[in-house]
Amino acid sequence: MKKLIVIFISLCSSVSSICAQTETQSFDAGGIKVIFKHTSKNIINVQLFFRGGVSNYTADKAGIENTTLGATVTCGAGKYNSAIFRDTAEKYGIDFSGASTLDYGYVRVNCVSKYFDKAWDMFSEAISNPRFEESELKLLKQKEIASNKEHYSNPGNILARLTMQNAFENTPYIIDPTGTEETVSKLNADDLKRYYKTILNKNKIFIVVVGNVTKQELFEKILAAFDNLPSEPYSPVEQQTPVWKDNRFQTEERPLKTNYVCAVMNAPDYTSINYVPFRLGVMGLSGNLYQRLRTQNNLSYNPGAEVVETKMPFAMMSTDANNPQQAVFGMMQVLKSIQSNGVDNEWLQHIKNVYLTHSYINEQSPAAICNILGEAEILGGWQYADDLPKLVQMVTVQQVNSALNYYITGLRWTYLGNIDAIEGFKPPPY
Amino acid sequence: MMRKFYLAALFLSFVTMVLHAQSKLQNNMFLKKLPNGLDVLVVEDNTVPLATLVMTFKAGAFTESQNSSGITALYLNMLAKGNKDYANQEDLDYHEGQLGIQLSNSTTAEEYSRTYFTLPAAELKEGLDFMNTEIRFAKMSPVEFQKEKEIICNEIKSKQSSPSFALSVAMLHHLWGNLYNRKTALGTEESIRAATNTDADSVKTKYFNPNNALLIVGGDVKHDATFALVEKIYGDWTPGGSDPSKKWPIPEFKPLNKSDYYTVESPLSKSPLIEVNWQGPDTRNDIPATYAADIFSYIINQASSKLSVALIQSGLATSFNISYLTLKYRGPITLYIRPNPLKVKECMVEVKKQIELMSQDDYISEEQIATAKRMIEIAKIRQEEITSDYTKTISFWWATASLDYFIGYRDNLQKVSHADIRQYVEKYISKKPYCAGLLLSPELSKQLNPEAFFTSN
Repeated sequence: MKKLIVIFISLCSSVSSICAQTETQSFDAGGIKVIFKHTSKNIINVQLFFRGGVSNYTADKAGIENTTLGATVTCGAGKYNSAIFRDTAEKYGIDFSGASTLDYGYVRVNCVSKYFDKAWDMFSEAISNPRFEESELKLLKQKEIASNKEHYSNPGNILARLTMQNAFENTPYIIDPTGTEETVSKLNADDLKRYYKTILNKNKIFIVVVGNVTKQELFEKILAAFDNLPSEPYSPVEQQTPVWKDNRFQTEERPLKTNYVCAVMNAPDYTSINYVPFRLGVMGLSGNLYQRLRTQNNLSYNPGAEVVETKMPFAMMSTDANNPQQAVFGMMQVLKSIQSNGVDNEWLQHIKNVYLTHSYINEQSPAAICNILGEAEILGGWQYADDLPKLVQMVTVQQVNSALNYYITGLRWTYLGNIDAIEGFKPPPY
Repeated sequence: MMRKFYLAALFLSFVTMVLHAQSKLQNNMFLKKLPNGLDVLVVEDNTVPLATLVMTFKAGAFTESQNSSGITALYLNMLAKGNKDYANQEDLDYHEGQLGIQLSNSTTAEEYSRTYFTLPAAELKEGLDFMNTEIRFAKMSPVEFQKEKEIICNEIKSKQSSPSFALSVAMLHHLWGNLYNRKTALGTEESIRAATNTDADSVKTKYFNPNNALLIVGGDVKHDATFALVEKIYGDWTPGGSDPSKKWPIPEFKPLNKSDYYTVESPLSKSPLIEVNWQGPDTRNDIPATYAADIFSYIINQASSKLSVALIQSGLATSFNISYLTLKYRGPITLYIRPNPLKVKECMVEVKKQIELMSQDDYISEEQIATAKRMIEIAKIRQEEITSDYTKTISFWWATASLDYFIGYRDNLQKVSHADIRQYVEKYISKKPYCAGLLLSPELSKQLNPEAFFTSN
């Protein structure tokens, strides 16, 4: 790994000049960090991020941030009661949303540029003066609980939640950001008001704007709307990712037509110099799984692998399978094969080609750009997102092969489906 | 409208002609018909250096018999299993990587089949070559054919693991009777396992021809150069004879005689779900109603609508959505409701009451109509922002209506009046029978006894 690091650092010195054409910029507006990218598109997307996510609250309050931020844009704000807020948003085609994830919460507005002034007025009221009307909150909670139940009637979503619980025991990531029926139903307007005060802090939030607006206009709007927000010291909670060195297999019975299996593995931090090589390696792993399990052996319909971009980083491979034992052995073989045989230059060039196209596809949507920049800022700095396409082009096969072997030393499996199909199964030692 | 379009295809001259619709297209769109009947639409957008290629055929569930249900999707999937230039799927996947191809996939739906991908605009010629050889020169290996059948059966099983799938499948049977398969492109395990190479060849011969296809090239491309490339690569593609929809006519769906209620129990269901469907208008027989249908859906889905106030603001339901799917052969009008689990009966009573009220003059307001028109306008602006998606949207309209329909859509929506909407509601919803399905868990079913209230009485 040491060699890998040295190679990468020597290349990084040239990154800034290669990436000089980036239009993304960051500035301070009255103590709030702003990340801004101008585009010529007709759509403007504004997203205010709250740092912390599930580390902001305890398990018995699961869902409180999600409900609070959802309520800022549904339960009235400032001069708009909830009905007027909703009707005005509809009238001008302005989309509002507020929610929370493992690492952050957000309030987002998306509109066509000609209605940006109206959208901004509503957005600033939602952030600065949320009303949390009790009657609307009751409806919002019902909706969230129903939506959660629907979400968890899908086997893929159940598997994802079980996987988090199995892999991240004793960490905040076992908390479901959307909460449970029990925790969400207990929340009232006073709870939300109190909670909102704890996260509305200039040092805990930042704003990402992507669209056809000038920096000066944006600066003035933010200053006028948010200059009076509280400013308190903020230190993010340090989190330690579990290390998975064994090959543990946990099962959950469900009467399904097919079975589902997922394996979690360690991954580098987003800001690590090994992150980009590792991510490309997992893209390759995903392709190999698809070929081996689906194309060659008909073992499953939708096998794949991905790096999950979270503050406690991890990667996962998953599939559906009629014969889960064969599928698990197949996945293990594919993983071991790519780790021991490595990748070659031609393969890597193909992955780079695909990645570049993928980046440009995202560039078409202001909402996608906003999300990518915001998540990068949460994970270590928005510049990483901007630089990623260039960093990808600099990766070598040695870096990919080293990263895959260094980080993947064990798997934490979760199985959902018919227990008979997996009876007596013990995964081999990693 | 479609009649004129097809006549044009029949009497092609041997010189490339520009369709009369050209003058009405947006400034960045250019349309051309090749001598072999292939329509080519170029959508210029230089915001990112990409090109998206979408090849669409008028083939899908609607062209399949019950025995051959799912064969079009199966055939389309076989295009990715190797051809004269690429030995097998691995070889194709490998070269996709070489070209930087992303979003590569194929879709088969009620009335279209399409294959598509996005790649760097600099690789446009290679991309057009790649798609050409994929579509025209597939190997159709018997071994791969058997493998693909297994994959589709796995896909069907995967979908069956979702509780709402059972509700949707039941709805197809109740709403469309013995022609239900013409509304689902997935097929069944039985029909897929019975499919043969000969069946797949038949799909190719009948429908996968240039005079039944539209190629859209969207992105950082120049239309003149693109037309020249397309003509060079696809110009020798032999047309397939006369209009397949006339040679192999699609049977008409029987109208519903009476409203039809059913329940589906699933142990996987976590919260109840109601689905109400009507047989709606289509683009062959009642184009004005299709415009009114879209406006009406946008009105009803507004938070200020009477249905929303009656269901959501009252706490009887947590969400609902109404939509109309534009099709050439009876598009469904679909109302989904997520009822409050404690008030399923009360919710259904209210739904029935609201359906009765929908044709009343004051059920919708002029302001709601204006808002709906604005919302559709804005939705279109949003669609146009992302060319890699927008190209697929255009292909949908081409298949289920026509390019003329797509071109005039915005203007025609603006012309829809209060009276047009009321006429649509009376003709297709409030005075018409419908099918209503309720999905719930066995426990909730025991508790609610839906047979007592989930009926047409």
